[in-house]
Amino acid sequence: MSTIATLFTRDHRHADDGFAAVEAALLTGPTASALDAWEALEAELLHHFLVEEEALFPAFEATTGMSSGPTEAMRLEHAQMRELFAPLAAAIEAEETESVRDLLETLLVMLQQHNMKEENVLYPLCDQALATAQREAIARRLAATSP
Amino acid sequence: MKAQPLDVKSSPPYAVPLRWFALAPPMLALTGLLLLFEGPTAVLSRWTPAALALTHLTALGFMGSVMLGALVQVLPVLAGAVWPPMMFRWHLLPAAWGTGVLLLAASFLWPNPALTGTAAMLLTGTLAVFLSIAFLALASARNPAGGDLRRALTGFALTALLGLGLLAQREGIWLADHFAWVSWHVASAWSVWGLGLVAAIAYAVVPMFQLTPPYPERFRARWGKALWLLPLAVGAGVAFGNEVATGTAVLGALLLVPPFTVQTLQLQARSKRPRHDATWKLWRMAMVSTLAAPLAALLAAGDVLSPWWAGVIVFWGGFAAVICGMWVKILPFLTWLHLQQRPGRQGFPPTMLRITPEAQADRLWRMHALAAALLLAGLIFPEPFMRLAGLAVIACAAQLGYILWLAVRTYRRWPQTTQAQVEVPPSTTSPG
Repeated sequence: MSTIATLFTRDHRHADDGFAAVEAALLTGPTASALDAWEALEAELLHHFLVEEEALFPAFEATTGMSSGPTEAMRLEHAQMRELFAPLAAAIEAEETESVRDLLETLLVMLQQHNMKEENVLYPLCDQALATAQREAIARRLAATSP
Repeated sequence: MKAQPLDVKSSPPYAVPLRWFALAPPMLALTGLLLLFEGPTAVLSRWTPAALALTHLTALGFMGSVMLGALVQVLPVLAGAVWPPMMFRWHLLPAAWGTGVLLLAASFLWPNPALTGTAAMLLTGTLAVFLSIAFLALASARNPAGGDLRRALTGFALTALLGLGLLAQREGIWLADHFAWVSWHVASAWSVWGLGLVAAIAYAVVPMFQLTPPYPERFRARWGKALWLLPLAVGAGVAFGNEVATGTAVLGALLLVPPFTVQTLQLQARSKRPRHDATWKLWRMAMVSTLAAPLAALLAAGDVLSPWWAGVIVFWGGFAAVICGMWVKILPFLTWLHLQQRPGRQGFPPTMLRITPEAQADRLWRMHALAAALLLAGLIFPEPFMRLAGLAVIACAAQLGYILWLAVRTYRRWPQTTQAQVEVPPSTTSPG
């Protein structure tokens, strides 16, 4: 079966496409299409965060006994990113171009450095720690609404 | 309790990388001043005192300081390394490094064994401490990024040892084929240290900032190791004299450098982002320059061009462009990140483009490009272009310093002075 690293990394790359779609819609299309693109990306990111926080991280913590290390840092970064979501949607709706560009840039860099930590460090640790059955259950949860 | 990989406690405090970064603008300004005052004589030969001072102020003072500061920041992020707490407490390391660079530059301009000895001790001591702690931090990193970073740090150690050997030769402590050793020192500095670190960072940031596909795993696994053939072959060539050592360095560069630059340019061409910002342009310039550099070195080896062409293309077109491109991303991001994590924070901290407006990043890109053009023009018509290039380099240093100051000012003053402008998120300020 596919590893946690493969599946969750694929989900990250899919979110990259969503990000590019938001930027493209902002440049060329009407506000409504940019908002649609953002809402699709937001839903995808929220689902990804939720699967990690409710399934992957607790399984890792229970298996390794590490509850204050990497998973705590990743939860904190999820919260930091979520804080940008509402202002970003509001700025797109209000057609505040400078604010949209600013918030998107910040979210992009935050998201990418977060993904890098997960892909390089946390997911390989999860693959080492979790049993096949656990990994399969988490994979099913990720795929449930993931495109 | 011992910090674990990615632990919040393993992230460096805001001031730690910034102390290293703060050295870069004044060091670059000194380089510009030397060019301004020396003018055409600076580039008469690569062996003049001014040329040696220029080279080392740029390589160690400007590039080296930024690279060491960047390492402090990226080791935990890229490789999950855990810094021993001493790295965050020993504030004198950047000061010792900066003093060592200044004394080394002074020892080239005004030869004096005491200056050379003190500079060598300060630089070697600082680097030995830094590299020892870095290797300790990387000990548990078993991922590809950990391997890339370990190889780059080993490259820095080799370059420094060769540099130390050259200083010993200059002071008459030890006799060897000085020019052949210089070829080895330069080949090592450019390849396994400089390009090795740029590649280790590029593997992460090119896909990250520019939304490109990732570097192919096979390429990444092989190229960094293959690059070591360059200093190893040049080292073997040293035994046969300078011509063999230089020829090996040029041939090695022609074979080993282009795969990385071509790969990066191809990935950049597949960027999913519809707009190209200053960082994209500066990375593009860096890769084109790094692709051209081995050709310039070949022409220099054949006495068709001055070796300064290769020097300007490598240092300014390549490394300085990467540094400028990263400067306008990393500083605002670190500032926002640390403001957001500030305990007891109230309000919405300023986001990246409010800390470093795009206009400032674009200005840095234009200044860098202007300085590159003037430096190359100065190699054809040294007077007046080399002095004008010196002015352009000083302007670039001032712009780097201004962007750093904007970030630090925001960090120190927020939320007090920037409250009206940035505290309230756009959702509550929008008219409708």
